[in-house]
Formats: sequence, C-alpha cells, structure tokens
Amino acid sequence: MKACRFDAILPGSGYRIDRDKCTSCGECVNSCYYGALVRYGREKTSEEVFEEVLKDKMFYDYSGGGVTVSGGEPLLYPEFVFELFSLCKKSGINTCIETCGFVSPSAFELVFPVTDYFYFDLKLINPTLHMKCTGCNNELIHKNARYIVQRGANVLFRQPLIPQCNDTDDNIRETAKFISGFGRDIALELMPFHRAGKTKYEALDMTYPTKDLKPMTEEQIMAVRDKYLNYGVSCSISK
Amino acid sequence: MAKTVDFDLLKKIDNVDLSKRNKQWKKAMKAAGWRVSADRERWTVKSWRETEGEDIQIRRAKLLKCVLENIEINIHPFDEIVGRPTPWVIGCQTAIDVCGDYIPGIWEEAGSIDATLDASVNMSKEDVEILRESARLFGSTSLPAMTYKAWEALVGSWAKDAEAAKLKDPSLDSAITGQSTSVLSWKKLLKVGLNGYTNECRRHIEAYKAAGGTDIDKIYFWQSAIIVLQAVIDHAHRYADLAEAMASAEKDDRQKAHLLKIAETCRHVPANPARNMREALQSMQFCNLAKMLENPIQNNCHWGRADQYLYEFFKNDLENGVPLEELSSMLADLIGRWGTQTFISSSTQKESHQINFGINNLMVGGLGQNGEDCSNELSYLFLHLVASLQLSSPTVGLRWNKKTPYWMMKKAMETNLATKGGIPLFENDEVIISSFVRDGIPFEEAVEWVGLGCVYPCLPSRAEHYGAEGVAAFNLAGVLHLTLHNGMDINGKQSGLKTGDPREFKSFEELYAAFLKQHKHLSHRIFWLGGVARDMGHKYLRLPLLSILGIEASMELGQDLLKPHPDYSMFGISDRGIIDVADSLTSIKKLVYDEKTISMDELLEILDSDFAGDRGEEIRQLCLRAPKYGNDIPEADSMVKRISEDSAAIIKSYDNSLFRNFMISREGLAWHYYGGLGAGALPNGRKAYEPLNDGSLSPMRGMDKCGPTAVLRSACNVCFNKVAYVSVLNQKFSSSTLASDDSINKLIAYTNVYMNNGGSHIQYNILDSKQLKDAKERPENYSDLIVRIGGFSAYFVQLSPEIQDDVIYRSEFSL
Repeated sequence: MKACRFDAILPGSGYRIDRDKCTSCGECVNSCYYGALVRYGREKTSEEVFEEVLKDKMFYDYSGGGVTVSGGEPLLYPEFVFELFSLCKKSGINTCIETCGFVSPSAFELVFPVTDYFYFDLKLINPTLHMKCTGCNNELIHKNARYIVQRGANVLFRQPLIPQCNDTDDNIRETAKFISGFGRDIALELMPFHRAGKTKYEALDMTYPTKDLKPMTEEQIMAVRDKYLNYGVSCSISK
Repeated sequence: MAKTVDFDLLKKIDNVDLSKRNKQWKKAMKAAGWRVSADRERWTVKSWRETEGEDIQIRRAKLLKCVLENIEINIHPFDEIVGRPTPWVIGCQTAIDVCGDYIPGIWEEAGSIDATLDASVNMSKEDVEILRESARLFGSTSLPAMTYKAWEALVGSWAKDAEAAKLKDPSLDSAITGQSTSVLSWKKLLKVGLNGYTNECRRHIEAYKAAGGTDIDKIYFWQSAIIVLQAVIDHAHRYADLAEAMASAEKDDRQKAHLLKIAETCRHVPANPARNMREALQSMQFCNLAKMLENPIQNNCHWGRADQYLYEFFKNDLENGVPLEELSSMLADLIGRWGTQTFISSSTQKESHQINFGINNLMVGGLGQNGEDCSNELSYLFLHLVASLQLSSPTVGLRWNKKTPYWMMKKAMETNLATKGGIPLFENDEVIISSFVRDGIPFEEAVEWVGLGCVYPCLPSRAEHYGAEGVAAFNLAGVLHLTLHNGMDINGKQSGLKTGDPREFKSFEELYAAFLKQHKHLSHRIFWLGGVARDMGHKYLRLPLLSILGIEASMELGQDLLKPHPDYSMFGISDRGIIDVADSLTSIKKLVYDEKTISMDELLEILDSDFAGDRGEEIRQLCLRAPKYGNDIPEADSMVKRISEDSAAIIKSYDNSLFRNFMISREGLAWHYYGGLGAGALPNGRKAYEPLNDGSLSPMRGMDKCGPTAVLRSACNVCFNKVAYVSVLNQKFSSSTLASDDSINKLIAYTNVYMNNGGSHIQYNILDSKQLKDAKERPENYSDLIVRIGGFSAYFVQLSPEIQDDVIYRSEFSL
C-alpha cells in the first residue's frame, strides 16, 4: 500500500485496486515480493516483439508455423503489425492476424502484403441483430471481408458460437450464403462459447456479463456444424 | 534403403485387443496380493552348507542348481508362456545370500515384512525363520557387508556418514549387484540354445587343458557355466512334466491341447534354438527366470531390442498362418509378466527408487548396422500392446533419430496418451551413438545400445559396473550444502573438506571455487571406493549364469563378470541436482555479490532457519524471483552450462585406469526425492528436505513461466549433450492437449525440434483428471501445467475454480 503514490490500493481483505485512481505505473507489483499482484501487459516496440518471436524460430522452421497477432483488435495498430510482420517475412516466418474486421479498410491495405493468413470473425450477418449484440454496424466488416477475399488472401472465417444469439437457423443460413457468395471454398470454424474468460474479468475487477449463460452441449454444437455442412460450407469446430 | 513397412498390417495391429487369456491374467493380477516367498532361501542355505570347502565359482553354480531343482512351480490357467519365480501370480523371492541382511523387518517379533512402500506382507513364522537362518549364514560375509568392511578399513565411518547424509547413492546392500549387466544376449541365445553354450564351454575346457593353461579359475568358470545351463534346461523340463500331468487331468479339450503345446515347447527350449515366436518367448522366460533365481535383486527382465531380434520369428509365423491375435497374446503375456515382477529392496533403496516393480526396459526403433532406421511392424505391435496393457512397466524407449518414420511417432504419441505415463520416452539415437563413438566405441557396437533403468544407455556387449547405483553416484545439491557449511553435512558431520566460511569469501568466484573443491573431494573419493568395490566383488560372490548369458565375452575369457575385464566393462555416473545448484548459485551471485540485496551472513542464517519468519519468507520470495533455468534467460542458463561442464571435467579427471573412464549419464528415477533429503534450504527458494527437481534437465517446479518452447530453448542452451550421454527432461501436459490428430502432430513437431537441436531425452507426463484435481488442490506443484481450452491454451492454475472443474470434467471424457 505504501508503494502506491496514488492511494489506489484499497485497504481491507484482499487489497483491491481502485481502478479510477490507478495509473498502471506498476510500482505496487515491483514491491510485492509475494507475487500477489501481477502486471499483465507491457509496452514493447515491434523490434522487441520480433526478438521474442525469433526465439522460437527453430519451431517455425520445422513446423511451418509462425506468429499470430490477436487482440483486442490488432488492426487498431496497423503500423505496428506492419512493422512486426515485415520483419517476420524477411526471416521467413509465417504471419497471421486474428481480426473482428471492424477497422478502417486502409489497415487491411497496409498489412495485406505481409500477412499469410487472416482469421476473420463473422459474428452475425443480420445488420440489426449485429448492432444489437455487438454495438456496431457490420457493413464495414463485410466490406473488409470482401476486400481481402477478392485480393486472394488465405482466410478462415470464425464464428464465436453464442447460444440463443447467433446459433439460429436464420443466421446459419445467412452466414452460409455470405460465405458461398465468394465463389471460393473458404472454411468456417465454430468457436463454441466457454466460460474461461471469467477468470480474467475477475482479475480486472470487471463484472462477468454472461455468468448465467450455459455453454452449449456437444450435440447442440454438432447440430450447428451439420447445418453448415448441409449448406456446403466446410465447417469445423475449434479444439 | 530403409525397408518399407506393411501399412495393412499396421492397421490390423491397431484393431488388436487383448486376448481372453491376457484379460484373465490382468484380472487375477489386480486381485492378487503381494507375496514374498522364503522358498529360495531354504535351498540356498541347504546348498551352501553342503558345498562348504569347494571353490566359490562351483559353489554358486551348485546353489542355483539346487534352487532350480527344488523350487515350487505352478502353471496358471491363463498362461501363454509359463514360468514364475513363485507359485503365485505376483510374488518374489529374496536375495539374502547376495545382499546380506537387507530385508526390512525380519528381526521384528511380529515378523511382518515391509514388502512394498505402503504395505507389509505377513509371512508365516516358519518362513520368517528361514529368512533369519539365511541372514545368520550369509549376513556378515555377503558382498555388501565385506565391501563396507573394506571401506571402513580405508576411510573409517566416512562412507556410511556420506550415505546417511545422502551425498552418495544409497545402500550397497541391494544395489551393488543389481544392474551388473544390461540385457541377456538374446540373439545368440535364440540362435544356439543353451546346448550350444554348453558345447562351447566343453570345447574351451578341452582347448585350455591341451594348451597347458594354468589358471584354474577359467576351468571352474566354464564348469560352473555347464552346471547352471543344464540346471536351466532341467527346470524347463519340470514345467513340461507339470504341463503333461495337468493335461491328463484336464477336461476342457482346448486347454488340454494348450497344456500339451506348452509341454512340447518346454521340452525343446531353452535347450535348443527357437523355431518360432512361442519357443523364442518361452526360451527367454526360462533364462530370465533363472537369472532372477540366481540373484533376485537382478529382477530387471530387460527386453533390449526385441523388435529386432524377434522380427524374423514374427514375420515367419505370420507367413506360416499363425494368427496375429495369437502372437499378440503371447507377447502381451510376457510383457505383463516382466512388467509386474516385484522385488524386496532395502529401506534406503525404497527411498531412492520409490518402486517395488523391477524396472525393465524395451527399446523400439532406432538405427541399425546399415545406418538406417529399423522401426518395423513388431515395434508398432509392442507399442500397441503396452498401451493396451496399461502397466507402468516396461519402460519403453523409442530410439529417436532423423529417420524415425512418422507412423512410428504417431503411434508413440497415441501410446503416451493411452498410458499417460510417459510411455514411450524418447531418446536421441544420434546423440547417444556419437557419444559412444567419441569415447572410442566402434559404431557397430555402439549402434546396439539399449536404455537401462530409466534412460541410461548400455552396451549389451559389456558388463555394466553401474556407478550410478549404490557404488558411485553423488548429489551436487549435497555438495552445495557442504560448501555453504564449511564441509559440514546435513547431519552435522564433517563429511566434506573445510573450504572456508562463506561469510569470509570476497567474491562469487571464491564461493564457486570452494564448490568445485568439495565436488572433487567427494566425487573422487566415491570413485575410489567404487574401484575398491569393483576389484573385490569376485572374492565374495559369483554369478555364473548371468555371466555366460549376459556377456558374450565371458565365454572366451573364461571369467565371471564380477571379475571385470577392461575391454568388456563400463562405468556410469550420474552427477545429480545440477539445476538446483545452478539456480541457487545464480541467486547468490545476484543477491549477495552483484546487487548486494542481502549479506551472506543473513542468507546463511535464513537458510539454516529454513526461511522461518516474515523476513525468511521475504528472502525466500527474493530467491524465487531470481532468474531461473527453463525460461531462456541467459544469466540463468549460462550458470547451468558452467556447472555442467565443470562437473564433467572433474569426473573426467579421475584416473580410472586400467578401466574405462566414467561415462556421464544424467538420469532421473525418483532420485530427486532422495537427494532432497541431503540438502537443507537452498538459495533457489527450495525449503529443506523438499525434493530436488525431477529429471536432470527439468526446470525447478513451477519456475518455468515462459511456456514449453522456452523450456526447450533453455535445455538446448545448456548443451548437456556435449558432456553427458543422456539427460532427462520431463514435460507435463494434460490429456486435453492431445485430444486431436492436429495436437498430436504438434507434439511430434515439438519432440522433433528438440531432438534435432541436440536434445537427448524427453518424456511426457500426460495428466488425467485425477491429477488435475490434485493440481487444483495443490497449485504450487503444477504452476507449469498447460491445458487446452477451446481454441487456446492456458496455465491450469491461473484458471478460476469453476473453469478448472470444466477442464477436469472434459479430461475425463477426452478419451
């Protein structure tokens, strides 16, 4: 508590952090020998991140694998991704972006030449429902998807499968139609809802918003997959 | 060119189930209690009294003959291959004539024997009295007893003090002759039969006499061999007689035919060359059984390269129409038999090994004489059967090399998943063969190496005077303890040199120099005493059967293997605890000398109090936060490398002539538990008496925080393969990480990358739901455990309790 210059550590059992006062300076973590506080995240330059990536080169060389940038949303920082991936490409390391697609088209234009794979989220096709569930319009997302597909990117569409939200027959039909519309065999991976995020919410003093939502059963997940398969979409389930 | 594999046959093997007999055996085995028999001691005592006055070589041969002629035998209804050391499904004989008075509990009034780690066996009063009688006869003149007397004459009580402080490996009593050879010469044995050996002995006797030879020991050796070889054949004939008698009383036609088949087989082998798989396996079983009855501490029924020497029998039998299922049933029977061979060990052996099953080894795959990988369909069948049997033994080693085929690696990973116990482990053929060649062993001999114990590479052509067991292994964590206490060991005895009070050292280098001085003093003294034991062994014990069947050169030399010959013997050594010592020295260097956060005085005081009090815990946390090996941190890894090289140099500087230098093999067993008892609190943050790190290259428990690839990078950084034949790295994954083909392929890639970059051994512990539950209860032991959760991986202990339950739930269903 003494270590904090901003009085952000609240007394009482458990020593919670007052997130309004905390400036993320990290002094409390440095002075805690017991490891009770942990700092997640550090600022690094693209060169520093690349150095970290390079350490595992012996694995990439063998497996053909490489580096995936993920989020949050990495394409909110397209210059950083571009710098990092450019370094990777020079060293022959495979690159991949996980994106929700809701970013400026110029971000995709910038990183496209140095990106080998796109994992691209398709949450909901219906614009109204998309707005309702995610708080944003999906027109930009669809535009970006079309852009990278038409430029010939390796794309895997991914759908976080949320019960009673996007596992409806309507959405399955519309998603299948959207994917088939490209006239190319592009696979879809379903990522069934799980509750592993709860730990992180708790660590950050945030309320876990889906605490009453139950994960789908194996059978329900398979049923969704089969519907996609019937529409002719190569669909798999994330392991 | 490597030969092509029959993929259709592999597919058939994938579908093979355990036979009805195998399943009956498993059921009986699980229901059977642990039993200890006094039968063998009865006959050893009788024979020893009758042969008084004869030469020891002949006496030992007649002792085995007497045991084989009289010991109770039995055939169980589910036996494919017959022969057990006791009439029971699970049981063992004792080795008082070899080990002396080593059995815990025989002098206690109640006469209950500590047969296993957690169970006692109640023997009848009469049986306990037989064991006591044997202990009275052999106790004070057994080889271990005489060795301790010799050591006492040289260094007083030092050897026993060093053992008590866990500075050296334990208990001469049950270890000294435990592993004096690796595998029997299966190839020759199956080819010529025991009659072939006998004829050879006779020719040697005639030739030696004709040439006017004057060394009567040679004649006695060949004569002793002839006695025991015939005794083994007669023992097999006792089983043939029993099978015939049982057949005539048998009502079931199929079982009757089976018993007659057994009788016919036992009449033919092991006397004669084997003609098919059944005869080969039966011949092997009689020889191994007799080996165990010659010395029950020699309980290790090593297969060696069974996928090679049995391959012709396998292919021929299949071509001759023997069903795959029948061959599998016989093989599974023998794998199971050898994998469940129990033994009684002394109390210190229990501490260091934590097992009561003999460790038996089976090698699969690996390079052949032509330099090509020789994995075959039988290697695949062995893996399949080991997975089906679900036993902790045999220790299966896959001899990994750059040419190991994908189908073999895939089956190996599937077997790992099925057994969950690191079966098979992976050993780097290329590192090991090139280590042997570097030390002057010809390639043709080196390529036949087999793993022994957990991973120790042995040459079947040479007797192993296994330094690492009982005679000459030592504890570097104990050496550090000595260094920090001016030579005083954990029991307060001055077992080490007085290298000075560390408080007076002005620099880290002074401390390090003191550590090396302690190391040299301890290790060279242990080697010296080991040499004394080596040279005197034959005066008090002989092992004619093990010599003639174990070491081919014994025949030519006319010499028991307890009289080691420089050209046919090897000496292994394990310098254990390197990671603990390195992380500790890194902490001291950083905290005391570089950053001066604490003084040496305060550190030592806190260590001696075992980190007591608030200040103690604070310092312990500082120690834990110092750089640790396993995270690809140059500061930590370079310390490991430095100690590895300096330790190797000290070992190599010992003059072991006329014999070969010690070869370093950094293995694991359950030794980290035992070694931990020899070191107080260490500056790496480990508390007093807690176990050291497992394996020899595994990071400190819970201290590898940068993921599994960083562990491999660290393991490569420290270059153990430059000085050691093999070093043990254990990695943990939950079964969820192996749930799909895709993830199996990743584990193959992980393994291949490590081996390609100089890794010598890796082994996976696949955690099941029970262990995950334990991880939830005791997170401090599992902080490096990675689990797979829909689409990503996470450290298990960082998940919240509900999510951990989810993972546990799923792991119960992932198979």
